[in-house]
Amino acid sequence: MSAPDVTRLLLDWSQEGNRAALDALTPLVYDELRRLAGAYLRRERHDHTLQSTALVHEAYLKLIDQRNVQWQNRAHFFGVAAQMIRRILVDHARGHQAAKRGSGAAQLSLDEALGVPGQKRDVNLVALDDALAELEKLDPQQSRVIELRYFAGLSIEETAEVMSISPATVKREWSTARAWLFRELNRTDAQVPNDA
Amino acid sequence: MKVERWQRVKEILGEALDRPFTERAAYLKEVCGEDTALRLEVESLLLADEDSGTFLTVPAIEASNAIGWRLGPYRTLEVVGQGGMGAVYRAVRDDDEFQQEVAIKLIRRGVNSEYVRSRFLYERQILAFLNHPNIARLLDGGTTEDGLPYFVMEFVQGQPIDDYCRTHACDLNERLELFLKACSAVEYAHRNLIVHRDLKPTNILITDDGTPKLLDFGIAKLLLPDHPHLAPAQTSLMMRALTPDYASPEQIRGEPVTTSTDVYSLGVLLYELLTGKKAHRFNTNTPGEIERVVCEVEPLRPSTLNRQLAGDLDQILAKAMEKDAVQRYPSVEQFSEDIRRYLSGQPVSARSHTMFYRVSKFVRRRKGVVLAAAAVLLTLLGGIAATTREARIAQRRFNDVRKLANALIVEHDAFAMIPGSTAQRGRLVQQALTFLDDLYRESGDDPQMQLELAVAYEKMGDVQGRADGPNLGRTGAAIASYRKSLALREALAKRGGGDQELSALYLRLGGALKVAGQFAQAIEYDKRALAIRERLAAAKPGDLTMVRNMAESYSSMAVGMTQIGDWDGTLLYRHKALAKYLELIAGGVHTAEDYNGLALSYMRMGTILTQQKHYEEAVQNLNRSMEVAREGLRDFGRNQPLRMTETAALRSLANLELERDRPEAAIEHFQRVNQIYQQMVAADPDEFRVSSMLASTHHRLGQAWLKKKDTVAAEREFAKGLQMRQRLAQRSPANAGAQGEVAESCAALGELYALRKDVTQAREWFNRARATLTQLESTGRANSASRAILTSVIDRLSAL
Repeated sequence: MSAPDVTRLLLDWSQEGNRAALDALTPLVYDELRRLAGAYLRRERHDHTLQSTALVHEAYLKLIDQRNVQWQNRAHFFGVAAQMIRRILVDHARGHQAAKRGSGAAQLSLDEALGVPGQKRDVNLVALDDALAELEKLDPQQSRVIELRYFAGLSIEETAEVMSISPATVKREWSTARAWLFRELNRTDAQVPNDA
Repeated sequence: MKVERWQRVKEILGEALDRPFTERAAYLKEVCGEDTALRLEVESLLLADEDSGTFLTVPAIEASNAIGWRLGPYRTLEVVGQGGMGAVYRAVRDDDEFQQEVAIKLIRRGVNSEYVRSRFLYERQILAFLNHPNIARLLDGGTTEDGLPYFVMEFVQGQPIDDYCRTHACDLNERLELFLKACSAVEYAHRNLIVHRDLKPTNILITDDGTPKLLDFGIAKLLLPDHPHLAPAQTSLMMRALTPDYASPEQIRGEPVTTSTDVYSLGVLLYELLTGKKAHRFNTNTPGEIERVVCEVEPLRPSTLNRQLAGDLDQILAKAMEKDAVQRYPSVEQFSEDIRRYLSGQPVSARSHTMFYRVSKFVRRRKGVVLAAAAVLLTLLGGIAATTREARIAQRRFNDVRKLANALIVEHDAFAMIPGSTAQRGRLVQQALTFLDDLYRESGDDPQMQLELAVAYEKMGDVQGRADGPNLGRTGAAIASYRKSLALREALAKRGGGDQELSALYLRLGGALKVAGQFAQAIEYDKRALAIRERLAAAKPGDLTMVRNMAESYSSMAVGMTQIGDWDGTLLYRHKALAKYLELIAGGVHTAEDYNGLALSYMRMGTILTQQKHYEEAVQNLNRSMEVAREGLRDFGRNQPLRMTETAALRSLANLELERDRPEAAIEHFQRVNQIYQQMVAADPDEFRVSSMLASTHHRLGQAWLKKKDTVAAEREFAKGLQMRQRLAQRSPANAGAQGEVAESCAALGELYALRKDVTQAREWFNRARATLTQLESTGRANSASRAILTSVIDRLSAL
């Protein structure tokens, strides 16, 4: 599918609220992002400077007809891309977890031994994904802020632009959601939903 | 948890997070009341926040992939930040037993376009210019294996200034003090003609010991026009990187920016620090809304948000955040000076609008004024004269021009220490001079006015022909300006105060008079300056500023003594000056001027000792001079006076070698000196002193070749020297030294032809030298060097 077609779909979705356009758009964006992200997930160190925002930009440049660009489209695109990156990373993490379980306890402890101690340890993406799903039920706006910031790598200001809310609001949503998620992920009784 | 319940928890949590730790408990108690479950819920989330560290702050992909790369000798530990062009990593030097932590900024591959690349290298270049305790320092730079540029900076562990003030519950004065320290870094950058353009809380980190560190010169700009190798900013692209909260109206409109833009952003930042609220509220994030709010909507008066700010601080913030750049503080220095005045209870300079505002608006409508550093001032100067003549409102015009003249002088100071800027300064000053003279005629006896005029004429004199600074070589004009300033200052001093300024002016006038060959008068002014300074120093024993002033005054006396050939006097004052400079450096607080003063003292001691043929001692002094200058250059990298002194000391060493008959060593040193001066002249062809030194170096090289009996090489160098000296003497007819040097070159050529036994030619050159020197002597403008040449020329002529 050519760049003008993707642009058309994006316009249909963003300007006319055409849900079907989004459905048609999603796999295209997903495939491109997955292709680009593949290098990371295989940890090809030579590509170390590629980052999530760069990833999205690159996908955007590939997919969207540059002659017909409006910020509005770009904002929507970022929204879709953030969800896609979340999907890609979480699927990868689930696969990885399954593989670890398959290959026994020895490798698990080796992996853990290599981790950075203390607060800087890697985020458990699978648990985060679950917690985010809970958060989305409580407060969809907060879950989008986290998605855009953490998965698409957007700054406070960029997130505000994409969501058409003020940076102050983004900051507030971000800091409160972050506290909530941190608590959820660090519960000893993480399996028991809070106040259900 | 119920959706409604979470909304309530979130609201309270957000408010609590915005408060300092110490106030949170009281706030929760107040807002939760009897609802213990609510309070416990928020408390547990606050605890989670405190424990969360960097949780989610590094985006998913980077987080999983940023650790353990090698970049040159460094190993990355984590991603600590992201800019528009690349990411910043915390790293350590891998081969270093001390494991020094550094920050590495690496260009982002996905956007590695030619533009971003040049921008990135430009930032690296700019950082290399800057060396200040409140600016994160550049340590190293390099390129990765696959060709991506990176640079290594000091790693700053700290909190953004707003967070710091909140979590440390800083009071008003503490906030202002912290802000002032940050301003000093911006002032320093401006003095180096660098505009930051992206000042915001996250770019000013406060370390644990309360030191502000200015970061991220990613979109900074060098104001000098003649640096084609440094890529200019592409405004349209820059726009996207801007944070609209702190961007100035001219930035939002995509107009050229000046140091005034940083004044504005600092104003917004201070507004937030003092009120706790954003200055602007945007209803949407569309460009139209941003432009409307930033360019048209006045922020709420600070005192409506915080009563403590009523009065001076209201005024100061309003003046810093003026929408119209010309109405703002002309410099960060004046902005911070007003804050200092507020802190010490003195009246502040921030004043409300005048006629000027409307006039400049009118000018802008009519002429489409471009807001570029100096251009804006010049254009406005012209424009206002026209419009006010039409308006015939004398008093207002008076105030307006006065303001502009002051603004101009500030701009002038920023240019002063940068090589290559003399001609620009000359043009600015010429325009301002016309206005000043008008003001002078109309000034009446308003003391404030007279003071400003005195300062203005003094600066004018500096640019025209300050003896010990970059100047245009217009000595006569400089003396006239200094005398105008002096008349005003002496009148003011009669009313009391201003002694220090008066003594400084005496020294400047004395310096210019020496250049003009009027030594007796010069020494008289030097003595007056010294008397004032001795009196002031006696009143404040141990005050380093006083010590510095004394050192300066002694040096000046020594120069005068040398000119009239009083060697005992010279040695006496040189020793006194040297002792004062040593006291200063030992005192611990040094400036580039102190280093330069000490280096100059050693150098001059070296030259006197050379004349007295104490060569070994002289060499020691000259080497010491170069060492001190280099030491200073390590701290003040781009300081032109220090570089001049270092080179002059090397030149003196070359002279010494020539003097004690070691022409090979002399030639080697002179050639090195020549190279340095040639680079300096290429960078600033209008600067008088360097051109004059270059000419003299050619002359001395000729003498060295003559010693080696190579008359061909000698003639080449003498001729070059003469040609340059003639041009310089034409440029500055009042400069007696320049005339004397032409004669010196003529005499040297006479010597050369005498050696070749060409008596006719020799006689002709000696006669030319004699004519010039006799003329100087008969008008009382010959210095000891000129007289010595005259004597030898007469001897040679009679011997031929």
